[in-house]
Amino acid sequence: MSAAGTNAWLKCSTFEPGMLPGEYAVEIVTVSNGTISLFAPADKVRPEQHLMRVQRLHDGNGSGVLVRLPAQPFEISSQNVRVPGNNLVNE
Amino acid sequence: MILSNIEIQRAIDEGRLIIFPDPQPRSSEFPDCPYNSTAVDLHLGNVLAVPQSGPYTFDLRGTGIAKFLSQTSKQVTIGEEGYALKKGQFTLGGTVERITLPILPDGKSLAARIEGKSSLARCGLLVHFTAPTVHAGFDGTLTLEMINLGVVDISLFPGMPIAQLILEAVVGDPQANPSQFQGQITPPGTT
Repeated sequence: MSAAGTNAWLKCSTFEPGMLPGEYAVEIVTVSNGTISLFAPADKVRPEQHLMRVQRLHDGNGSGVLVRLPAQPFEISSQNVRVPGNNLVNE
Repeated sequence: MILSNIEIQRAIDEGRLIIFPDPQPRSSEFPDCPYNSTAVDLHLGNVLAVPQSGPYTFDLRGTGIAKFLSQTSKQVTIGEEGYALKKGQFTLGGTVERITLPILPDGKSLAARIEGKSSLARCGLLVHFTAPTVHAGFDGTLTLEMINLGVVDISLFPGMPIAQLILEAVVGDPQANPSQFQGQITPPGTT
């Protein structure tokens, strides 16, 4: 069964307070873009578990899972990225 | 097409635009009415992110930029005495108001632009210098990119009218990303 369109939690490699209240500076590992970073809204994270809520868009065949991030990352121009499936935790 | 103050209020009443807290009073009979003919005022939150100078260079080809920006800026809570933004100084702030622009069918979606206030501009204060557009589907507070281009310091106070929001009708229906805010009328955290 496809999980496309559902929410999931993505494990973040780095998780720190952001520049402003209500946000966190997070880094995530992607399949093809290396490590990227963004400011995640506080209502989209579980700080104590280093998890960030994302939207599953497409489950690839061995090429990771395409997800939509809650904010624009700095290092690439899209909010949609492929991440390793084992970094995702279903809600 | 820019919405009039009456149409902005109608959009709020119909759930096509959510501003939390709700701008009040609505009537210009009251001196503190946040509406003018085609915009509604937004107010400065009480925390600034003040970049710290140092022996470093932004390398936008690198990684970990979010973490780097956080580590090289300092959060400052504005007290009753205000915060003196020095001439030439750059800082980030946020609006008190949370803005939500649901993606709706039948051409009902709205987008917005944040603009400065002319009174503050005369003192040399910019509240954004790029990225003024608030896209349909946005949900959150607005980050202000503030810089004092004037010749003297400018005192900033929490809750002061700092910017204005101009609403525009979106022609056609945007293709929504699944995670964008769609069709809800209550922002997260308010119920």
